[in-house]
Amino acid sequence: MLRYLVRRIFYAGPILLGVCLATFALFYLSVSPEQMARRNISAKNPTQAQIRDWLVARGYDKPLQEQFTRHARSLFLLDFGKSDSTGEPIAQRLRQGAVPSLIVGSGVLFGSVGASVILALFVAAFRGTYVDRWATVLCVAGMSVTVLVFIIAGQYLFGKLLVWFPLAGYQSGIGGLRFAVLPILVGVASALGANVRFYRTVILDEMGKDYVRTARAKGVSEPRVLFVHVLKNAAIPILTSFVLSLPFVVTGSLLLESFFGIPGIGSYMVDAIDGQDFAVVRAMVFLGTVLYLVGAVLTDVSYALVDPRVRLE
Amino acid sequence: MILADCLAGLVVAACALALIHMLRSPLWSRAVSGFRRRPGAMFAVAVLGLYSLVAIADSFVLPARAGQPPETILDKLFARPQERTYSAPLAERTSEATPQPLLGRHILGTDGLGNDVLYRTLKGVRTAFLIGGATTLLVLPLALIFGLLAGYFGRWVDDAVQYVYTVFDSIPNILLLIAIMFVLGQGLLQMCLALGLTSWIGLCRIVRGETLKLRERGYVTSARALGYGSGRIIVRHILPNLLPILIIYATLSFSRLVLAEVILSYLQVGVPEYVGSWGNMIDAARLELTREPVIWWNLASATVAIFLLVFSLNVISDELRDGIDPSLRGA
Amino acid sequence: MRLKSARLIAWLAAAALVAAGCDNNPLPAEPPGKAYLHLSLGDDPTSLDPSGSLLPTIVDNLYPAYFSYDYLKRNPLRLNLELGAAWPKREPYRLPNGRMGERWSFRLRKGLRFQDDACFPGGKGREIVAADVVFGIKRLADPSISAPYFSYIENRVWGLAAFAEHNSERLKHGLGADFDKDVPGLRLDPKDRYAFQIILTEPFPELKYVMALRCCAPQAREAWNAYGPEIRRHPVGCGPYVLSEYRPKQRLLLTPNPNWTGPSYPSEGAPGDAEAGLLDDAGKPLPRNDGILYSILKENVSSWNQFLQGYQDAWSLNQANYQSVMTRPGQLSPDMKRRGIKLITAMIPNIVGFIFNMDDPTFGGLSLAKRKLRQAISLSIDRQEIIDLFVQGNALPAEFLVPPGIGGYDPSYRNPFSGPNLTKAQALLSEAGFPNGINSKTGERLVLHYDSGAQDSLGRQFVSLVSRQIGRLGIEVVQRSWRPVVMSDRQVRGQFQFIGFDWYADYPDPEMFLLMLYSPNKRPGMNRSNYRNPVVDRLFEKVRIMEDGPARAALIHRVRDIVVEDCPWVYLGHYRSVLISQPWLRDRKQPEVDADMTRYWAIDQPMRQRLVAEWNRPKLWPIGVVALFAGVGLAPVVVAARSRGRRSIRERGGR
Repeated sequence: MLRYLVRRIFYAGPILLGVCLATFALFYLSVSPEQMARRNISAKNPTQAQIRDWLVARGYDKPLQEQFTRHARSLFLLDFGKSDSTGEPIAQRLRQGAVPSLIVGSGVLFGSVGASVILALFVAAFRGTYVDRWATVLCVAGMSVTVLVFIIAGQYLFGKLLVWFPLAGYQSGIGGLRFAVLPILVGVASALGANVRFYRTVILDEMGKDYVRTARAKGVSEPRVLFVHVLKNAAIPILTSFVLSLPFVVTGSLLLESFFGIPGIGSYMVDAIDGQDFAVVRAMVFLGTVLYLVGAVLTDVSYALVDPRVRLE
Repeated sequence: MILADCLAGLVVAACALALIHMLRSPLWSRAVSGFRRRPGAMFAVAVLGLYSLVAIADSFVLPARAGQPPETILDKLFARPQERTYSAPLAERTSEATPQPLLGRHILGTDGLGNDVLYRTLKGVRTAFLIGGATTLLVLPLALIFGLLAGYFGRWVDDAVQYVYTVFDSIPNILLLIAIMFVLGQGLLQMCLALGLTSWIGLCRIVRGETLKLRERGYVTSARALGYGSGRIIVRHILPNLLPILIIYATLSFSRLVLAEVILSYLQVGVPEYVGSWGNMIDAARLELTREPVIWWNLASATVAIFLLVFSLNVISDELRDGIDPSLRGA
Repeated sequence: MRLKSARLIAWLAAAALVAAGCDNNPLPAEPPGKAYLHLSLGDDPTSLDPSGSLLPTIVDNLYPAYFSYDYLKRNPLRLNLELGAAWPKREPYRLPNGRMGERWSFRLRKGLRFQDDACFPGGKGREIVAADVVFGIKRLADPSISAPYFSYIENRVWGLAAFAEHNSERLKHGLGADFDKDVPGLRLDPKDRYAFQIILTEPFPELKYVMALRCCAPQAREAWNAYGPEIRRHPVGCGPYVLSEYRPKQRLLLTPNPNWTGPSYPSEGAPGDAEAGLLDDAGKPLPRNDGILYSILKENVSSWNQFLQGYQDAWSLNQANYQSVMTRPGQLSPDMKRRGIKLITAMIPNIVGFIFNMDDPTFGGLSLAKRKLRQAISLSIDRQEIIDLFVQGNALPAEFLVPPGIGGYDPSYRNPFSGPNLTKAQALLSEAGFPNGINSKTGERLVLHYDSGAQDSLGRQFVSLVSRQIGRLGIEVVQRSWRPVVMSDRQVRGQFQFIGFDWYADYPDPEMFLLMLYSPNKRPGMNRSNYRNPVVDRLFEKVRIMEDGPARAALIHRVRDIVVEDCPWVYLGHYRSVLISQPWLRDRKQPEVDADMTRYWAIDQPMRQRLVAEWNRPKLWPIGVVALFAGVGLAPVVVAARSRGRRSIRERGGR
C-alpha cells in the first residue's frame, strides 16, 4: 500500500508538468499578451504605454521559457499568486469559494447517489414488469433533457410559483443552506435518470448471482435480500462512481453556480478564461489536475478497502 | 463549407457501413431483428429515420438562381416571407406590444427576427448530426489507434499513451473545450474538432482494457505463435472483437455530444447564428422566458427536438446492448 | 409495511413543514429600524480604487470629487461644488518653454474628514487637505494601476507625462511609483493648506468636468501606505457612505459615513420636478437612506426575476427585458402599471452606429465612388426597425455623432444619407459602379464583411438583422464573429471592413465625440475608422479649446457637413437608458452623466414590506398537479406490489 502511494506521487510530477505545459501552450495559442492586457485594463481605450506597463507589472514581457519556468515553479510550490485582472490573491478566492461549492456539490452527490440507489433497488425489485419498463423509459427520458431545462423549470416551480426557496443568491453560515436546496434539487433531478439506470444494471447484475438464489432459498424476505445482500455486493461499482465524482465536488458545478448565484469556484475558472486571466486559469487547471490525481488514488484505495481480493501494488 | 459537406458525406457513409456490417454478422442481425418486436425500438428507429431525411434534405444544395444565395431542399420547402418578429404558434398577429398582421401561418410560431421556428428547429437537425457524427468519426480512430497500441504492445508504448491521456483527462474538461475552441475559432467544424479532442479518452481507456484482455486469449497467442505479424493480429483478431463495444459507445457518445452543444452555446462558444442550432435556440430562450407575454415556443421546439433525438439514440443503444450482451437480456 | 408507510407519511409531513417555513427572500436580515436600498450587480466591481475604476457604481459614493453634477437640473447639465469651497480661478500662464498654458486655482472646503479607518492614527479619519487631492491625481500616473482616465490629463497637466514615464522606468526594475517626486503642474499653496493649483500646457476648458470625476477625489497617503494595491478592495474614502461589508461574489453593504458633511438634498429642480414630488425632501441631509445592499448575481435572468418579486428596488433595463416592461416607447406594460412600478428614462450622451474601415481597398478612401458606396449602405439601414426591435424604441435615431444635451447638437438637422431609402441607395450604388450590388466591370457580386464580437443570442440576432437590411441592396453580407478579445484586437489593428461601434461620453462635451474623427487619434486611438480629412482636423483643433457657445456650434456644424458627406460612419441612434423602480422608492431621478447618485434615493419601508408580502404569495396548484401525476403513476405500482405479494417466489422475475 505504502509503495503504491509513493509510486503514484512519483508519477504525479511528470503529469502535472505536462498539464502546465499544455495550459501554457493553449493559452498563448489562443491569445496574445497584448490582447490579454487590452482585455484586462479597465480604460475605454488603453494607451500603448498602459499596455506595456501592464505586461511589465505581471512579468508577461519576459521570454516565454522564463515565464514558463517561473509559473511552473510557483505552482508546484502551491503559490498561486494574484489574479491578473483584479489583483486579488487567488488562494484567498479559492478559500472563500470552496465552502459554497462544497455545500452544493456534496449535496448533489449524496442526494443523487442516495436517491438513485433507492430508486434503482425499487425498480430492480419490479424487474420484468411494466413498472420496470416504464421506469427505464423515464430514466432515458430524463437523460435526454438538458440541464438548462431542468434549471429553468426548477426556478420557475419552486422560486416563482411555490416561493419556497430564493431564486438565486447565497449567504454564509447556516442561513446559506436554504439557498443551496434548490440547486441541489435541480442537480439531483438532472442526474437521476443516468444514475438510476446505471445502478439498476449493477443491481440486476448482482441479482443473477448464486448467493441471491441461496438467500432466497433459505427463505430470506425479498426486501432483505435486496437491501442487505445485494446492496452490499453492489457497493463496489457504486463506491467507485462515487469516489470518481469527488473531485468535481470541490471544483463545483459551473451551471448550477452561475444560475443560482452561488459564489463557488465552479464559474471562477470559466470566468477567468473568458476574461483572459491567465494567472487564475493556470492555477485552476493545476488544482483541478491535483484533485483528479487524488481522486484516482482514492478510487484504487477504496477498491482495496471494499474488496479484499484487490491488492495495491 | 465544402469541408462540412465532405464531412456530412463521411458521416452518412460511416453510418451505412456500420449498418451493413451489423446486418451481416449473426449476433447483430439477431439484435436488430429483435427490434421488430419492441415498439420502443421501432419508434426510435422511425424517429432516427425521419431526422436523417431532414438532415439529408438540408444537405443537398439546389442549383442557385442568379443573384440568390444557394439553397438546400429544406430551405426551398420553407421559403416564405420573413415576419417582423415573434409570433405565437398558429397566431395571426405578431407577439408585440402593438401586434401586426403576419404574412403567413407558422405552425410553431416565429422567433425574434421573424424566422419560422419549425424551419429553425429542422435546420438544427443537420447540425446535431454533424456534431454527433463527425465528432464520433474523429473519436473512434483516435481512441482505437491509441488504445490498441497501448493495450497490445504494452511497456513504454502503454506508458506513453497513458501519460498523454492522463494529462488530457486531468485538465478540467470544460476548460480544455473552451480553450481549444478559442484556438480554433468559432464554427461547426471547430466545435466538432474540440469536442473530439476532449472526448476520446473514455473510449481509449475501454479499448486499451479490452485489448489487454483479448491479447491473452488463446486464439491471439496461437496466432502469435504461428508467427503472424502484429498488424495482422490486431486487424484480424482483436479489432472485430472490439466492434460491438465501439458501436454501442458511438451511439451513446452521439447523444452526449448533442447535449454538450447546448452547454457550449450557453457558455457562448457555440456555433454562429446562421448555422441552425438547438443550443442557440435554448440559450436565447432564457431571456425570452422573462418577456411579457412569455415566448415559450422556441424553448419548447428545441427541447422536444433534442429530446426525441437523444431519447431514440439512447433507446437504440440500450437495445443493441441487450441484444449483444446476453447476460443482461431480459433484465 | 403499514408501519413503513406511516413513517413515510410522517417524513413527508415534516418536509412539508420545513418547506412551509421557507420563503424566497434572498436578502440577509437587516438591523431593526433600518431600511437598506436593495440593488444588484452582475459581478464584483473590478476595482473600488477611484484611480483605477472606470465605473461610477459604488466608487462615486465613497470618493466624492471637487465638483458634482446637479441631481435635478439638466439640459444643460450643471456642476455644483461638492468638496470645493469656490469655483476655480482660471488664468493664462506662460510655461518656461514660452508656450501659453493655463493656471487653475482651486480651494477645498475646510473641515472635511476621511472616513474612520485603522490606517489613521487612533483609527479616526484625518482632515482632508489640498495635498490629498494632489496625491490622488498623482496616483493616476502610477503605471501599475492602468488608470482609465489618465489619458485626459496626461499631456495636459504640466510635467505629469514625465512623472508617469519616470514611474514606468521604476516599474521595470520592480519598484513602485515615486509619489514624493514633485510634478510642476500640481502646486500646493505653502500658506493655505486647502488650496492647490493645476497648471495646464494648453487651454482645456473641460478640466472642470475632469475635476468632477472620481479619479480626482482626495485620497489618503496613509491608506496607500497601509494597504497598497489592496485599496481596490479596501477603500478609504471620504464620501457619504463607507463600505462596511464586502463578501466577494455575494454582496456589498454601504452604510452612511458619520464623518461626512456635504451638500443636502437640492431645493431647486428642473421644470416638472416639483409636480413629480422630487422636491418634497428639499434641504434634508444626504444620504437619504440607511444603507445600500448590493447583491452580486451573475445570471441576469435570476436577478430580473428577483426584481419582479420585489427583492430589488431598482433595475436598469437591458435589451433582454425591454419587452417585458414596455409596450411602446415611454409606456409601461399593463402588468407593470398595476404594480405601480415607475419608469425613468435618461440619456447619457452616447452614439451607437457602425464604422467603415477607411483604409479598406473596397469600401475605404475618400474618392467619389467609394463615398457613394458607403452612402448607399448608410441609406439601406433602417434605423427605426433596429431601434424598435432591439430597444423597444428607446433610442433617438442619430443623424450625426453629437447627441442631444451636448453643445453643437441640432435637433432640426436631417442627415441626407440616413436610411431607409432604398431607391436612393440603389441609385448611389449604380453610380458607384455596382448596380444591384454587381460590379459592372467584372460581373461579380459585392461582398461586405461584417465583423462582430457578438456573443449572446441578442447580439447575434442584431448582426443578422443588419446583414438582412444591407443585403436588400443585393450586396452579399458575410458575417464574421469573433471572441470579444479578438474583435477588439482586430478593431485596433484595422482588420475589418464594417463593424458596429458605440461610445459614451465621460463628460458632457462635444470634444468627447469629435475626437473620433481627428486623424492624430487614428488606430490604435479612438478614430477607429482611420478617417483622415485635414479640414476636419483643423476645425477640431479649434473646437477643442473653445468654450461652448454659438461660435463653437457653428464650427461643429461645418465638421458635421463634411463628415456626413464622407460617410465614414453610419449613425444608428442615441440610446436612452431606461430604468424602472419599485413604487416604494422615492426621489428617483436618473443622472444624464455616468455617475452614481443613489445617495439621493429614499425608501418607503412600510409600503415595501406590504407589497413584497403581497407579491410573493405561494401558488399551490403545482402541488396538486404533481400529486395527481404521482397518484396516476404510482397507483399501478401499488397494485402490482400487492398482486406480486400474492404470487409465489418461483414466479418472480418471469414474464
